[in-house]
Amino acid sequence: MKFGVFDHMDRAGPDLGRQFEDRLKLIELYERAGFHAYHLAEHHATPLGMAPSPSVFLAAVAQRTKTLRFGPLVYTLNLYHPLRLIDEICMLDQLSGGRLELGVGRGISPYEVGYYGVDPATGPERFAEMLSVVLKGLTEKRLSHAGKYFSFDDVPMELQPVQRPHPPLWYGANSLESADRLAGQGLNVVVGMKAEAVGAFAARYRAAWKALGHHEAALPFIGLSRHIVVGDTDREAQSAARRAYALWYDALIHLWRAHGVGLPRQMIPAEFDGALAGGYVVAGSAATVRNRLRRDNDVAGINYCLCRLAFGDLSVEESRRSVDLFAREVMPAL
Amino acid sequence: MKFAVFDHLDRSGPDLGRQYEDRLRLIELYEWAGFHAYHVAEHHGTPLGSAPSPGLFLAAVAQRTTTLRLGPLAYPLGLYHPLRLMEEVCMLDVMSGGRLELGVGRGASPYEAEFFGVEPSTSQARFDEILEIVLKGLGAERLDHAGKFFTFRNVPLVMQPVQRPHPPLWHVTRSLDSADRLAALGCNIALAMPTHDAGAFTTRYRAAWAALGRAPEDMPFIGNTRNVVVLDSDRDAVTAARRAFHVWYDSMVHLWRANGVELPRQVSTPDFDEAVDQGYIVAGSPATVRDRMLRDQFVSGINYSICRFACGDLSFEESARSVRLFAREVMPALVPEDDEGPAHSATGTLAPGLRWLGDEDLSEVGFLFR
Repeated sequence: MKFGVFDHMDRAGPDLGRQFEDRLKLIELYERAGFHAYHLAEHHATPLGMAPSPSVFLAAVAQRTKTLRFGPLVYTLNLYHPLRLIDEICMLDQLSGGRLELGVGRGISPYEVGYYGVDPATGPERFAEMLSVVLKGLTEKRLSHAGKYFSFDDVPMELQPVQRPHPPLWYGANSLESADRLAGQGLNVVVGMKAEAVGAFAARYRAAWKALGHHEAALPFIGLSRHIVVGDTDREAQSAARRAYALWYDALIHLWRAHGVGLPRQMIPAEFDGALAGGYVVAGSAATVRNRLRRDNDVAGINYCLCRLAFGDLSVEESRRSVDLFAREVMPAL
Repeated sequence: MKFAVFDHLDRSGPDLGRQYEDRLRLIELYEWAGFHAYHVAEHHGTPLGSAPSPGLFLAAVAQRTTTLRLGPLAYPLGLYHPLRLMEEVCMLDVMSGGRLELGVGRGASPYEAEFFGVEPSTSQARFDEILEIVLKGLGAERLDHAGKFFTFRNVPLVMQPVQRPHPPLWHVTRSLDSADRLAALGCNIALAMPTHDAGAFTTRYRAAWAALGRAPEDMPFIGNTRNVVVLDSDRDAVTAARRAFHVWYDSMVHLWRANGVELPRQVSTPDFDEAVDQGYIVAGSPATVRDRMLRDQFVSGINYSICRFACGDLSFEESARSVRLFAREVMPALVPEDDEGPAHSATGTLAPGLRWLGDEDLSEVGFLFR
């Protein structure tokens, strides 16, 4: 079992410069606490994502850490020019000595994609072309491609990543059926479902992996992400989590609400109590968090435990306390 | 008079990770020596530019420095989506505490634009429209725009830069005729011209500035870029500068040659000695460099001295030696006595990464810590 951190970088307050610096300090702590990787989301025009260029923030992360792996989760591929994305990937991998984890997706918010002038209806097709261009660009010395959205004729690829053929790929999975395809591609996955549903997904992924003749030991990461707050008592931790969850949830639905609609799939409860009961949020004393995670991780059959330790208006002290307790009293037991 | 650094980040060898780290160490030294700003170029598909996304490299620079100003010189606007560019500008300005210097340009190379699928004939129109969008959007809360290339309707802008209305703008030019227009815009200028031509430019710019009724003390920065190599003897410096010039020039000409043409001669001469005569290269002992730069500064009429200490295959040690000699023995002499401002004094803050210098080296430039 490895542990990672997922971060929306949702807006915590009015002083963004302070938020960035606080977050970088927290990331230094993630490294010391033994986390495997830091994964950062990409969102646009919403308080849900104050790192709309995850690469820029990650370049700073690379300077503040030495061993922690990091990456976007995910780059919204359709909002990039492929050449620029290839450049960014290579630069980050080179600046960090090969520590990049490369999350890719098409961008699921039609509003964010729309602001960029991309027709959401073209999403899947465009994404497929983008990904194939990016992987080709990362692995070949010259890029030639004739597609529906992009054409390149013998463009020199001056930069290469440190990790060959390319940094590990990550993908966000939302359906059980995608397990076979993702296992076939050998992608690391973060599954956006409840623990029980993740369990079914992981079982299917593992079966598909085995059916392909791959070894169990080489299984990619299958991860589940949860909000985590650890405190001295259940009461203290859950009170902080409740407060911060409300602000985070507001950011999550901000653009949908602004357009007069709800989230497309109510997969995440709006109410804190529902989120806590469903295991979307795990908050409490170290013992409480340990027990819940042990149970849910087991049910989910994951090998990557993704934690969201800073969200909403959690203060840097609250998050530090969470991380300390988590590393000391929860991680070893898992 | 202020001093700054320009950097192509042209490829110096096979190990790019090492080049990045060496360059970041050198940049710590720039801050420590009292340079005002670090400007990095953007190029694509060529060994001339190993920071094709200058924003990423600058995000790293912001972490390694505390007072040095930093920026792209220049973002080729036509190769960016304006929303992403604004987001990047805001993030960099916020993450550096308001230290961004915002260079904007059309993109000098038609080949690089073509890689991106941008038709070179549209580059001016694209540049104009994107600059308009970016200046409208930076600091605003919503963006509306209907143009030839982009349309935005009520897009929320959730980030603002620290510097309002926007970070200082820079423009690169090689054209004397642009002086009047640029003076009217009032943006800072980085020239890449022979010394005498720079003198003609600044004269014309100052005249245009005065004709607009603006005060001389409000003049933007006008700088001219030179490759600078200072070593203990003229012989050492000229040998290193000549060697590095050819490597750098090969990178400059790379994409042009690949397309069967030579670099336009007004961009740079291939001849080292001619480049020295024109003032593009200043190499020598501290005394030689001081005399040459004093003269060129007078002739060119600049108020911003832009040096390139790292280019071609200059080793980290050669560049670091250059910077330290320059800071100690050249810079102080280039600041006129009546010049106000902190150009010749260090910040006094020792960047953590500078520990590699060691005690001996610290004492050598200890005067900087006043």
